[in-house]
Amino acid sequence: MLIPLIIDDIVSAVSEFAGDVVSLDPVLLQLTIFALLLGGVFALAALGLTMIFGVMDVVNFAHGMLIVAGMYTVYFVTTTVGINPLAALPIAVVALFALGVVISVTAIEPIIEAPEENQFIVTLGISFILLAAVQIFFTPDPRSIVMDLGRYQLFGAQIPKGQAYALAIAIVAMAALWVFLQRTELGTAIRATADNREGAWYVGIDVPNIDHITVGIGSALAGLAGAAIVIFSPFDPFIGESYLVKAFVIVVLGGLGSLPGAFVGGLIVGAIQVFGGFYLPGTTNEIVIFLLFVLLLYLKPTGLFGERRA
Amino acid sequence: MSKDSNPRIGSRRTYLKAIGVGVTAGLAGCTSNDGNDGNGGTDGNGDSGGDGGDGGGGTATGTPGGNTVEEVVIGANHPLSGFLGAAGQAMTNAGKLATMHVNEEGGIESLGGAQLTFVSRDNKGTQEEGGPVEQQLIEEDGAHVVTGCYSSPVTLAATQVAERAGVPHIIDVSVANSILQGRGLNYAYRIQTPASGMAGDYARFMPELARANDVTMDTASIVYLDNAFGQSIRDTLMSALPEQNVEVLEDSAYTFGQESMDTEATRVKQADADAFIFVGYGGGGIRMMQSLQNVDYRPPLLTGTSTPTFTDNDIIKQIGKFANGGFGNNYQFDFNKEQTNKIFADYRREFGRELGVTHAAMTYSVVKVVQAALEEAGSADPEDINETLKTITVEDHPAAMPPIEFQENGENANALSPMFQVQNLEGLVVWPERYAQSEAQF
Repeated sequence: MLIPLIIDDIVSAVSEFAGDVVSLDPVLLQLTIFALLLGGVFALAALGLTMIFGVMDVVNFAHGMLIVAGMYTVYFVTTTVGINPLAALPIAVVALFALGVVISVTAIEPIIEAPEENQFIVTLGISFILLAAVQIFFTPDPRSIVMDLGRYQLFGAQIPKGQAYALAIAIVAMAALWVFLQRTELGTAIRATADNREGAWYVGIDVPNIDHITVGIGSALAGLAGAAIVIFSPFDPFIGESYLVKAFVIVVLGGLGSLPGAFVGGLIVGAIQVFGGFYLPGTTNEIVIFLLFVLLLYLKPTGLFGERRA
Repeated sequence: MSKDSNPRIGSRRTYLKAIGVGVTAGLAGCTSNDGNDGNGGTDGNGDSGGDGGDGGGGTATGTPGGNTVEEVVIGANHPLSGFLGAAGQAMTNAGKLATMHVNEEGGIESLGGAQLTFVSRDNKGTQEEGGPVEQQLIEEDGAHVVTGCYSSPVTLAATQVAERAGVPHIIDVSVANSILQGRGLNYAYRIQTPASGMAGDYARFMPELARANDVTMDTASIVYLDNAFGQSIRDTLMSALPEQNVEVLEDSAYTFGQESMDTEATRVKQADADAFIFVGYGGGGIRMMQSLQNVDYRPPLLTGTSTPTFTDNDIIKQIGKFANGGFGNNYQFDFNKEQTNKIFADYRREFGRELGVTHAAMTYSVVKVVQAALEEAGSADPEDINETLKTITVEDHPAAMPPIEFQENGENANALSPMFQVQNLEGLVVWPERYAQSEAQF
């Protein structure tokens, strides 16, 4: 009974949307801007998750809490040292890289060859530990260090500067990661490990070391996402859950291990959330996101940009 | 990243995706739970009835009636850790302070000066802990009366256990209508306004306040949290506002933990109603106010109900200047009573911090109700206390509401959630005039 209702809602929403397109309703530009801004942040949030999976075949369920750790790193530095949250961004990246390496060495590497269930349990365990630590040190209360940066105007539509900066950070981070993976020796080693771990061993690549660096980079990207989010959004210790869920949907949508897939997947999910939130009743947009997720698993299990591994 | 020819990887990835769907769905469930920001006059909804854990029918440990009682135990089933920990701690502290005040004044006179003891245990804000914690308070700590539990699902479970044990449970804070309504409980009472009452108070007071100041409130838009709690508030508003000649032009839902509320803010801006009403927890409130600024829109009347957004000073500070002028409604201390000043001063002295959580008014009042019931009953037997609660009228309490009297279903007949306004980043009661700390500013 639920599916026909949802389909009916979607048909009505599409009809209303088409009407707005025909009448060139200015709200479309506003929604498009918000979809781009949110999609960019989602893509950044998913980047580290897809990278770790691409190299190590480990689904890191601590990823959401690593994003939160990035948020609270910026919060801590900003409130104790008194520096601008933007200036605290590199500190969050370095801190989370270090945390990622520690997690990799102490928790992930020992069970890298263990059954997948062990990896889920371990990474979920790390997530719970991080959640408890954040609550102990910072309390569960919501926090906000949102910067009052103002807005740009574009044909009457508002572009919040904080979100625009976060989108810029996301794009720069993705570009930098791509350059790093494609143009550096270490990046080549990481790609080689992702392609064939056993082969990488045979050609002399220190695979465990690559794993540690990969988890470090993935965590640093999560930290960067968290640091970028606090510029424009309030946060609490539990917000990581929703980012983890969205990130997982995005990496499956885009293709597990695919960096371009994470970007495109982020934009798609952002667009569904924004346009769906506007045109669909209630919170049907959330259902649409998960329907898309399940449908894609059935129809194209490799995702939009993923490649089938024989 | 390119492919290899490792068959193990292929099957492993399929497996990982399949597991991932399950775990993600599970996490999605987590993100859509009825959490709470721990700051407002609201809690998670309580429409899912709990079974009170695995506790069997515990037996009350009530002492025989008479004047030989030395100690009466009030058990507090509060969230002292986790997401709701900050609020739970403040509530427990308020309960401890109230017992301290009662004891300083000589204890329970009709019981020969028996002292009150306030014993608090941690339910962690989780439904599965509600029953067992209630059981421990009754059986191990010998509670004659229990209070709590803040989160409605927890309270549902806890009251079930108290009912079986025959021990009165006086709810300080838990908003869901379903806790008392339709369950036929004989040992459960509630001081605060339930969800429908809180939204009903808003629908009555806000238009009244606006019109008394020649401000138009003929239309409204609503953004509400999409869970049973938020939906029940929204439904009450949808039926109660038209009765006050306020037309609801637009209502939008958001999910718990939603990353951005810019879309909802865009809808609110498009509706451009006289009043915007926000329903949800503190985190959502902060995010909503940020999103309204993102779309460069301030509603003529910025308001909320069943939310800490405009009533909790910690949340107000997080929002910043944009919150100034915002209206909300919640239970609160009556600042026109002398005892309120003493409560705040003593709280600061005893616990080393300001009393900034409005829930504390309800827990403190529970202790005053217990004190009155004990004096009236002249007995510490839970059965006697329970019978007295059904007929008692408690005037001596610090909450901004008339005397507390319980109806047949356990609800406080005179529960009230007065209107607040944020003035200079502080939530102040402005309506009804009887409880006002300040005049409303438009």
